[in-house]
Amino acid sequence: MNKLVASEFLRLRKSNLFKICLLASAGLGIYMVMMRWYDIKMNPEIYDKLSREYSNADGILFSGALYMIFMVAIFVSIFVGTEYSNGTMRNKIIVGHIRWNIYFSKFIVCAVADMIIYILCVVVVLIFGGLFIGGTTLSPAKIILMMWASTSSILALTALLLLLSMSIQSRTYGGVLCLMTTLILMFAAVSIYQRLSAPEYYDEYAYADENTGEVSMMENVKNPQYLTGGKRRAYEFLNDFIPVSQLYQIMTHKTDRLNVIVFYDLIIIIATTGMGMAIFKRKNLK
Amino acid sequence: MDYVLRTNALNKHYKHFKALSGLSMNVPRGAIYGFVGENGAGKTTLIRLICGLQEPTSGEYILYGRKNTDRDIAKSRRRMGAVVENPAIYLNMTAEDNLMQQYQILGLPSFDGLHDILQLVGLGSTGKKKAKNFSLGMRQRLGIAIALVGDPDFLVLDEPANGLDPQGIVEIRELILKLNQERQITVLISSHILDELSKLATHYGFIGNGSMIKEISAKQLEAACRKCVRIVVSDTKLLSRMLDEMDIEYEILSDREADLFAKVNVTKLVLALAEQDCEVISMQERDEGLESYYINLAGGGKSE
Repeated sequence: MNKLVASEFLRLRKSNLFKICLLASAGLGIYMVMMRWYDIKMNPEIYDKLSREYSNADGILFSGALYMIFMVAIFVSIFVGTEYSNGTMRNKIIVGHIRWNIYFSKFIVCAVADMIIYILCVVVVLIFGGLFIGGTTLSPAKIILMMWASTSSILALTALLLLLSMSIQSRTYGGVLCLMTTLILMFAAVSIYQRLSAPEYYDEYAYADENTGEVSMMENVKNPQYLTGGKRRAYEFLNDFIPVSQLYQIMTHKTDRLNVIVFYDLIIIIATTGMGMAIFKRKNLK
Repeated sequence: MDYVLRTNALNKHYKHFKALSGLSMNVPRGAIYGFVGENGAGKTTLIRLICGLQEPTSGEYILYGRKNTDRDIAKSRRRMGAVVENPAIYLNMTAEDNLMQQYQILGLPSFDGLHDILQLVGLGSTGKKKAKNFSLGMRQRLGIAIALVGDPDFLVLDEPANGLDPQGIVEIRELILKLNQERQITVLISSHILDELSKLATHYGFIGNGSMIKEISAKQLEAACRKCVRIVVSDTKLLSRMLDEMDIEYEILSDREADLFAKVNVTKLVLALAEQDCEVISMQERDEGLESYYINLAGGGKSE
């Protein structure tokens, strides 16, 4: 196992893909800070009215995670898919390595690589945010807590994408499937968030008839789309369970359920890794 | 005899397709075992099974005395290297980096001997050139170099000469002979290029429709393919008496056919037989090589 992990890290160190992802991650961090800085410069009167978190790095500190999911999908599918397309997966099996160890070593290297890519983005936002938009008001303890939770979400997503990549021997199909899955999770996360944040009642409002000038008062109207009962609980569960939804919550600084999120991530990692190992063990390799 | 690999009634089915059906073979230690069969005969399937890339549907194989179902079969696998179909190499790495990867996979404590392996396969001067820019022959040699990391005793090569130019074929042949003779590595080669295989192999296994048609040593094959003159006469008893008198080596095939294993003075033989009232109906020179032997064998197998 140690031998496999060592060889995977040697490969990671020489991987152009990993270097590109690191560059993209750092670039994304810089881009987000500079865009915010430019926006503040262009619209100072708007930002004056908003609370402090909008004009510093607080609001964008963990925003990179939502872009990072696509980078994770690309990295995992190509890093693993290349082993299939080059046939190098065979070299490990031929010399007697157990398939479970091969799978787990892949998880370790992908997890570490994805963590580095993600953390780099956050660190860059912190550094450049400090230089250009006044840093962050978040306490170091809170930043660490949110980093911990968002990293666990990234790891859960990595485990899921690794399951897909290791189950498909074509790098192209694997890549497409990983990106499609990430996109679907993204759309699911957004729509779940919107459904859950929809108000139960529309606000009371008044309107004047243009012809008669008569003013009418409308009372609060119940939102028919508002989720209640079991359906709401199911949506809340999915919101906590889906890694992209978790990142969405962290991005918006909803930190009251971080422990639950980490617990669900652990379940996802164990379940997908176990399933992936079982599939890979029985796989007929070409 | 000491065997590196023995298979016993191996079967491999893919849904309804039988890739291997009851294949049994024996690869002796120190041999260059030529594995011959047409496309789809099951050569690569067998290689995939013994490399652990796939599991047999039924049957078993024994690699260095360990059955494929043994828990420690991995220990036997550590003694083998293989190039299955295309060489398994990282295309965006140099030859040296590719070998370093394999050193790490095997957990070797240092990279000692890495450059010796590259020199051995003729890739010592590739420098920083990446494998994606290598010719097919260079990739094939790099694949063999990777298989040689860890000093294996058993090398499995699936179609190593596929797509190579004549020079490349010669280089691979010389490399395999060198490995076999100097390092006593047992080699299992599957190949379509029978002429090339005949220059290497010490043993042959002919496979058809997933089953072993015949296993034969190169010596036995040579005897079977010996150059001869096939003669058809009216009476082989008279012929044999005459050939004994003339001290010519022969083999009687039937009461009318015989093979003569010598250069024959045709006029002298025909006149001598005519004196004995033995008619010579036809004479035909036969020079059966590996190719025609295989075609006869495969044809025989098909008609059965």
